[in-house]
Amino acid sequence: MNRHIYIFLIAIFSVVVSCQKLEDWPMERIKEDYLWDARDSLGTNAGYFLNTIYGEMPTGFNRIGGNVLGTATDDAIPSADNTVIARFTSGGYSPIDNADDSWSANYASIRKCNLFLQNFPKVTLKESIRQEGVYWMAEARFLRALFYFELVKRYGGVPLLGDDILSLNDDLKLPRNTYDECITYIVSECDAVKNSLRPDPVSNSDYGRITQMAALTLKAKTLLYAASPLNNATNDKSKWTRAKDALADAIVRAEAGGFSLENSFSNVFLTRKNSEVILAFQRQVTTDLELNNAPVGYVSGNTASRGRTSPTQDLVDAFTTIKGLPIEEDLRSANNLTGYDANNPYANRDPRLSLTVFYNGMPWLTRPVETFDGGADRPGGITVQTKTGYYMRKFLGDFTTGTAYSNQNHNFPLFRYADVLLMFAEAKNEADGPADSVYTYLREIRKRAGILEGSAPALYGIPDGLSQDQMRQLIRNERRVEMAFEEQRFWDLRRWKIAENVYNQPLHGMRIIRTGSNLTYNVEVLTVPFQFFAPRMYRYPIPFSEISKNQNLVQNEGY
Amino acid sequence: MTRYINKTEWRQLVLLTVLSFGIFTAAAQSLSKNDYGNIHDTAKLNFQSDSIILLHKDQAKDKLLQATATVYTPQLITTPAPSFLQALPGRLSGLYTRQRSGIQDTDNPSGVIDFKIRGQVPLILVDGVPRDFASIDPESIESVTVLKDAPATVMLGQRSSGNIILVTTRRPTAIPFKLSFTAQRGVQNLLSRTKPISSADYAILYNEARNNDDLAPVYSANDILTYQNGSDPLFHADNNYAKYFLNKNALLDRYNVNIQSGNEVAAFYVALDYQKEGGFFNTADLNSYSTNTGTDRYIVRSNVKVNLNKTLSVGVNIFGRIQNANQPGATTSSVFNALTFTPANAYSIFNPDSSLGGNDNYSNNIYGMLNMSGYRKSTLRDLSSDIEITQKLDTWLKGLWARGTLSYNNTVDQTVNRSKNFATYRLAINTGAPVYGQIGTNTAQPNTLAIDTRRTYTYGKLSMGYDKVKGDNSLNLLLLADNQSTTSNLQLPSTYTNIAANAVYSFAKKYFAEATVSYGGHNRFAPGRRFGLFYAGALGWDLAKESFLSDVEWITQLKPRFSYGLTGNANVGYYVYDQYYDYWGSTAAYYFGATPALARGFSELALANPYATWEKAYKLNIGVDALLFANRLQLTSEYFNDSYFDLMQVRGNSISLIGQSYPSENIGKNRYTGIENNITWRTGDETKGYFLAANLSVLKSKVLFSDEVFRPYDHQRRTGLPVGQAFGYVAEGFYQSQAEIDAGPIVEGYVPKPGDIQYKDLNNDGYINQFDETAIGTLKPLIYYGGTAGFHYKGFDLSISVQGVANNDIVSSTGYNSVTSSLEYEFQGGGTGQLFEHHLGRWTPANAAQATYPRLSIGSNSNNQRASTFWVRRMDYLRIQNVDIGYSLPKRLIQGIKLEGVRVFANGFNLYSFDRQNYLDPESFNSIFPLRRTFNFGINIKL
Repeated sequence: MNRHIYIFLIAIFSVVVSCQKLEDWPMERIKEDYLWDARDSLGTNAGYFLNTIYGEMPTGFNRIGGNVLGTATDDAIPSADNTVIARFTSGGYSPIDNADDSWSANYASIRKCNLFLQNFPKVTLKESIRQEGVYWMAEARFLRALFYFELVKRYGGVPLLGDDILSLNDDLKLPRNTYDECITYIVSECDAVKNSLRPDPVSNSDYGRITQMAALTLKAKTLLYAASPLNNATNDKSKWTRAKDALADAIVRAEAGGFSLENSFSNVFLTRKNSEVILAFQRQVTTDLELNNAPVGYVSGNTASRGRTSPTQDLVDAFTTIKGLPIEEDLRSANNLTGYDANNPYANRDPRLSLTVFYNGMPWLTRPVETFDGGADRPGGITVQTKTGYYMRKFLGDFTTGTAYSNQNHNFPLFRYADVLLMFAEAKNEADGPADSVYTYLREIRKRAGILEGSAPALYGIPDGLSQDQMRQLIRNERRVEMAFEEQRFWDLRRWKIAENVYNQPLHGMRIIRTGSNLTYNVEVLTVPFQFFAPRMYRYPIPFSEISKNQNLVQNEGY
Repeated sequence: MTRYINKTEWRQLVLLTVLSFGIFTAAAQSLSKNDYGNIHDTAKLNFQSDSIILLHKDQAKDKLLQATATVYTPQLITTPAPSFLQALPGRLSGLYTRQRSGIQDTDNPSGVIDFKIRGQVPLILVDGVPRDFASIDPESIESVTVLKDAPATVMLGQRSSGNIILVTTRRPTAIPFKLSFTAQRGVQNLLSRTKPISSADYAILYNEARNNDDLAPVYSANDILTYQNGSDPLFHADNNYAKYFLNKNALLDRYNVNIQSGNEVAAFYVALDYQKEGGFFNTADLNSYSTNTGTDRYIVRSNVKVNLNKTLSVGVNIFGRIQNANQPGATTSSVFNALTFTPANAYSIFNPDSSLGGNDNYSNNIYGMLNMSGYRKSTLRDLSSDIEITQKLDTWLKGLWARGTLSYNNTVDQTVNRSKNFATYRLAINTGAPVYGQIGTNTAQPNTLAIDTRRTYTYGKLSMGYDKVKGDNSLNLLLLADNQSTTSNLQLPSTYTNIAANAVYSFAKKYFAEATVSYGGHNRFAPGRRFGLFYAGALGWDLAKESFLSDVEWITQLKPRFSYGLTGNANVGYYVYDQYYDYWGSTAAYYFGATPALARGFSELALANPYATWEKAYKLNIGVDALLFANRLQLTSEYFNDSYFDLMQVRGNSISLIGQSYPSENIGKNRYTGIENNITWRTGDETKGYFLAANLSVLKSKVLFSDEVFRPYDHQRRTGLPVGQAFGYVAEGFYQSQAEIDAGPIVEGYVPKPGDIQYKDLNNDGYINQFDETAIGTLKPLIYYGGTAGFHYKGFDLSISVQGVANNDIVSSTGYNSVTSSLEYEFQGGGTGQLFEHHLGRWTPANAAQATYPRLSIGSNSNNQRASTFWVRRMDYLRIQNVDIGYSLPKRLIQGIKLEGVRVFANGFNLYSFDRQNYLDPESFNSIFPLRRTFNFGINIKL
């Protein structure tokens, strides 16, 4: 009896103790050797890794607490109160509070690029797709340069890491490189890859990948920034010349690569593959822009539009008349019926106006926009609604008819051909004065916009014989209008070093009072703060958390 | 400031007291001395027991050298709460508790109560094994012991630093048949402290806040008037949601029967327990099912011990539990959220066509959440079985024994989700017929099953012991090897393995020495870095046994003792020693192609730390135990000094140029020191007696090293300050005028207005910025204490326990130990949040001098809502935790019906607290679930 008990007990023990036999590490986790598998002859996993980096390219739209970056310029203000972006204009960014801080995000992306560049060569691609591997390496290098450009645009000179993948045991207290060193690095990287990238135009399935044209554009844009007054205090003409030459290269390559201005301005933003966009952040088709930005009175399905962006009267006034003339010059009169009429301010204007902002009376979904006081899109009360009488229209699908939004292509354009032409015009004008090519490209852009041709010597409203400064003002205004809400003006105001004059001025809105069927238009001064503290706000502060961890990082002036 | 008790609560309290006393006195008068039945033990404190249960062993009390504290069954059963853990606050010296939330239906004790011993989160072991169930019947618990120093815990190897709450269930003993039946009913009510304001006040303050933010008002004078006179409830609602949707009381019923019996061969303890907890929601009877909260708990336990032969004994413990809980489909927490944060004027609950009211800002109609969102039913099942086999090996060597222990526990928690959405309707009457705009949709009721938790705990131990007494020398040796493995959901088991040896030596019950070593491993560290050596030693000397004190009769024991050791704590993530990469397939950010194609991605996860090792601590404990005046007075004092090092922390200088998240590394050094005192006075016999027990703990902590970032000013430095010290700005009242603002320092990133909080420019650089942050809140050591007193006289017994905390400052800002911002700040949740009475004291030009709250603004305010001394809240409190009063019927009344004892009792839990807070609970300040107060009465019958 006793012996049986013992045998029984020992049996139980050994069964229970020995029954678990499991792996010693979580095998569902992906390790390095799987990701960079030398035998992955299609490079599938490595390709996925590169895809992730693509997903970290800069993008735009309602990205800062639901608001577009344009709401931190004189183009628009946020419709809601107490938004994070409002702090940009009510006290500015600080080392501990900057809604657009991208220091660590960009360095995280740079690490990914370096990981790819270092590890991808381990993967042996099969012969037939070797060339794909060459493209991928060049794409990763371009993307790294792009992330540096994003950093330099914001912070000035930043630490350049080269090809190093930093590890825990490295000395991480790296100092900043100078602005010029960073520019040189970005430009040399673009030069290095410009011929090993995919040539333009690319196949439909590769659309959205980095091409040679993208590298030329990034190089040119970098040089243009470096030549601009903020970064070129002595107005060194050779910097402008370098930028101009790079832009000229880009234009030559663009023409060879099949780039041109799209016939229709709205197609640039809504047609997924078009002849104008050089590089865009490619997204899924969505209705998010419509829902975020269309006037608040519109309900699509069961969802009310949120009308987050309120463009200013100042932006609206920057749009010329249909003849391409400033609204102050081209006034309506008995013998000028297409002139500007303050009592009917949206008629006979640059056609881009109605593709950039919603104004009262514009058709949309089932009814005209009502931004008069008490109208469906400006009802008063506690609902978030326009503060200026306008809503942002740019990028939105064409829903001037219809009852509900449908999914649209909403790729955020990073580089487009019109931008290249405008940048060329700017660089050429600064380097060599208002030469013929400047007029040519500006008129091409206005022609595409739908401005009336008029007659020489003032084709498309641009009179011949402008002084360099007049031309500069014209280019800047054209850039504002053409590139509105594409995250250009915010940086343009800074690199032109005019932010301290553009900000610190009152912004304006439109108050429309309806009496019966009569509308009265009153421009009013907006009370929202619109401050810019020079000189410090020309650069973002390096995050305080980085400064305090790394004494070799020198903070930007004024913070 | 003390808190209020409302009228109903007073009435209940008084009624219960009077009722109980009435019965007792009436009965008492008819009784003569010495014939009371089974006097309940609640009014006694058991320290007469000769041994104390420690980790892996029972220790004779006189040999005890460890720092411990123990409570027994009688002190646990007086607290009417679902979990026995709720009975612990204040009763165990050195155990800090904080009831974080009053949420019902949770079995996760750490989700509701924080426990800390000497600053560490302790491991809760039930019969030596970590298990999942805190919600068990207290009758089945024999004792709860806290183990606080190195010798007490070191055999746990890599889990020995955190200290231990050791729960021991009832052990079968050789006693005649005893049956105990208890039936009780508790009435719970919510101790809600939030005081929402009326619609009219809300509208006035909303306008004022808009005005402060340079925005046009949204409520007209007529609106406010309408709110005040209530003439238009449809468009100018003034709802009291708590009144509409919460019941005053919820019931807590419990029935327990347990039987004990045994002889030399076999003994058992079996128990059955049923508990039913009702819900607080006032639901309408719309559905065939319940949408209220509620929990039914069934427990069965059987602890059996059998001596198979003269040397071999087997113990088998089996425990099963089923807990069924119900909640509205919208979930209890969402409902409480909506109840707390929906402004009174948000919507009219019903529209004229009896559809549910709502609008874009407030689309979650609470009536709908409670009655039309379906329900969720969760079922929790536990099975636990332990087997322990002991073989005496006296035939080989006298005093030698061997033991094998196996334990298997399984917990499955699953939820049947039958929740659905409902539509609300925005009513608009412009001209003509009313227009109803639908918000949301009515959806069908799905029926899905989700396994929330599936956990398995296995434990195996082989041990061998040798106990020898020879003359004055006594030696106990213990050698063991154990393996504990926890499998949680899909993860691989987390396994701890120890080999440990323990020796206790005493000479003439005068000199004591103990030594323990353990070699402990954990499988989450890199191979080759998994095992470490831990050790502890202790010495003691009972002066009372020395000749120079032997004739001092009033001293029974006077034993100073000293212990020191090295303990460990495996604080490591899931196999972090390898670098992993993440795969995302379905959510992509970038779409290639002229027709958008989903791009899959891989990315690198946080950096691996292949060098991770366990955290360590050198722990010193000096204590003294005294038993005086014929054991009536017991004193225990401890001083401890625990130095923790190699603490897993993310390095302070985590420079982001590396481009990746940093792993935790063995960096930190913290020191915890403190004292714990416990005093107990107990006297009496079977018919009368009383006791007093009190404990007081002081805990001081200091950060010795944390790889702190460069701080240009000394006032910013964290190192050297208490662990977890709050930092913020020094508030200096409100700006009273624009002139004052202009004269003061510039607030970086903000344009102050009159009524904003003004901060001190600590570094005098003319700017208020991060360099002006300093330690705020007290730097004094935390004090916590508890006291219990009771008496029994003839058939009566009474015990009261109180508990409190001092030097406890909380800062309202982000962080775990902070006030929920939406309970503190105005218009939270993007400007749609509720206001409370304390907002009425806001700064306005008119009451500038008396203002108690900064000027209002809509939504967030980066100046006022930053951590500062303005928001430091002193959370000191003294709480009457538990009162228990009982009466045992005289024997002669019950002998006729063959009963051993009958006791009627009434008790209460969380009865009253003295503190300084108006609208925040000193414990559950960051929870929207108010704590509960429970009045409970019942009867216990023994036969």
